[in-house]
Amino acid sequence: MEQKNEHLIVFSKKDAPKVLDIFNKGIDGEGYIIDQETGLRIVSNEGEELLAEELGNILKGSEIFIKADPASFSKYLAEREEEL
Amino acid sequence: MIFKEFVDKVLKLFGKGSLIQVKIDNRKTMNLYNINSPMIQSSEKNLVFSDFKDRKKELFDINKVGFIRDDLVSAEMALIALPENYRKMLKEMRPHLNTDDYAALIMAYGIRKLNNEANLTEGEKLRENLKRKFGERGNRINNIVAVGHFEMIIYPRLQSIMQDQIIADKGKEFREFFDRMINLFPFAIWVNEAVSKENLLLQVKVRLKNLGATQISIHSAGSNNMLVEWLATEIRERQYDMEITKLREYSIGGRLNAMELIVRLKQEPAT
Repeated sequence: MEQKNEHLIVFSKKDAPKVLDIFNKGIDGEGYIIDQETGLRIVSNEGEELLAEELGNILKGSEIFIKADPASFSKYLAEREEEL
Repeated sequence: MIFKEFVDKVLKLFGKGSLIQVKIDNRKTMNLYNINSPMIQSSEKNLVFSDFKDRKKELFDINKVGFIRDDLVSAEMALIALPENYRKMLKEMRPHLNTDDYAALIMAYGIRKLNNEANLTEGEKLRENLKRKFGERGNRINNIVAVGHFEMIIYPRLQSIMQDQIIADKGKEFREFFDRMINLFPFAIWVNEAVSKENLLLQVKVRLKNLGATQISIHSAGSNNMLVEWLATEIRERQYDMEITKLREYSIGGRLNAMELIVRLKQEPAT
């Protein structure tokens, strides 16, 4: 049976800007996460603009930003049943 | 191979204690690398972040390494590392529930897992989070899961509907049953501080007599056990049309004392 390993890096709230920078994301004057190239605010998995201080997870190849709220993570799991 | 070098490097830099392994099932393990070790100087951490950025494509786009904030680890790992039999049941449920109900259900099983592991503080935080996000409906789903009625009543009903040759629209039949259970929630009461003695007795009567529940299971924990003890005495001494079929004390997570009282309408002796 093939063993599958997945990897998560655990970060602290104060390191959120450094984490975002890896993905070419920055923070605007109001604290929201923006794309460094376009300057546009990115949206979370629930379609809402996200404050950097509310960043909980970045998953699956940097495309999914999840609010620091287990209920938002649970909705992410619910929308992708293969995750369970 | 390049990825293995990354893992070795992180472990070497942050120490073996920085790796937490969460076994999801027999095939899958989640490796968590904590880069917040107090042993690491901030200059070293900056170098790691810089290295992550240089190797973004390899690490994050190809190998799908993710990030998780430190204060979410306990709750989120409880949600993804549910016992395999529950995950199998949840997957069968998935096509029949909307996203919010399903997300609340995952959380409810996560709360039960944390409570069973005596992680009561995290369990309570997750319960508050569920109520804030999914409201009273989510709260009811949690109560149904907490007392074991989801796998004892709702899941078997889904299975029987799926096997029924006569029901044409099985999905609709199940959704209606599920909504009825959630909306009326006739068979279980979780006692909290807001419930008065009189209201508790009234809820039991309404569910048994008006809503057609065959029996009611009443649950409490901690100081609320007094209400259940009062109800048991009240039924024995004054409510002659009801009877107790079960009264037990148990512990949640080995620490919190809980009670379960099961009541039904008095059965006439067979003649």
